Amino acid sequence: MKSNLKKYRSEKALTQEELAFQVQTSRQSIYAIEIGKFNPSMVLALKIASVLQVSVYELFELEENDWLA
Amino acid sequence: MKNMNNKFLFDTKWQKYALLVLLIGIGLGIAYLNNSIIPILQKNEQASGLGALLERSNYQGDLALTLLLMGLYIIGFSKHKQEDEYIDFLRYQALLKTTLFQTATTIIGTWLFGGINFLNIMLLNLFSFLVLFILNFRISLYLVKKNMPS
Repeated sequence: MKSNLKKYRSEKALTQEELAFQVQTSRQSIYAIEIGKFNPSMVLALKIASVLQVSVYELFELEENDWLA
Repeated sequence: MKNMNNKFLFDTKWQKYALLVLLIGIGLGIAYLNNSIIPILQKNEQASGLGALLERSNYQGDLALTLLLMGLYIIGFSKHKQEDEYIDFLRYQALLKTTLFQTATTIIGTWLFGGINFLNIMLLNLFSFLVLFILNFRISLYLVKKNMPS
């Protein structure tokens, strides 16, 4: 899954720490999501999308290999 | 939407009590191995017949192992101070890695050791799983923090 979190977070001029605080998670989580090491749960993805005022589809994109079992 | 927090983890504050329990367990265990038994844990009456097969002369070893396992379990499975789904994910990965390692070493040990040595390996397996899991999880947390740009 491709993450566009860093792009949209930068557009809102939020630091990882600030975003983490607003969605009640840790900075490590935000960093791991940004570098594609961790896929967030639906709840966390919706929270991030809500804070950044974008849709989940804009925030995360499915890649070719995501369709492979 | 309901938040799926893990209900099987102890609260963070339990960690310091668990450390105390673990240290008492280690102390009792070392004393037990050196044959210095606390009088209150000494067993007086002797069992006969089939019961004699399971006989022990004191309860210190049992108590030491119980405290060791309890301490390690609570340290391994209590919430991190910044508990969230990523920490939960790291814990799950550490659990998988440790289970794989433990299973592989047990299979190898089964073929390599016999008799009393095999029993010693099994005894070590009792708590090495928890020790390895704790180490694995803590190292993962440390590496995440270390590699994160400031």
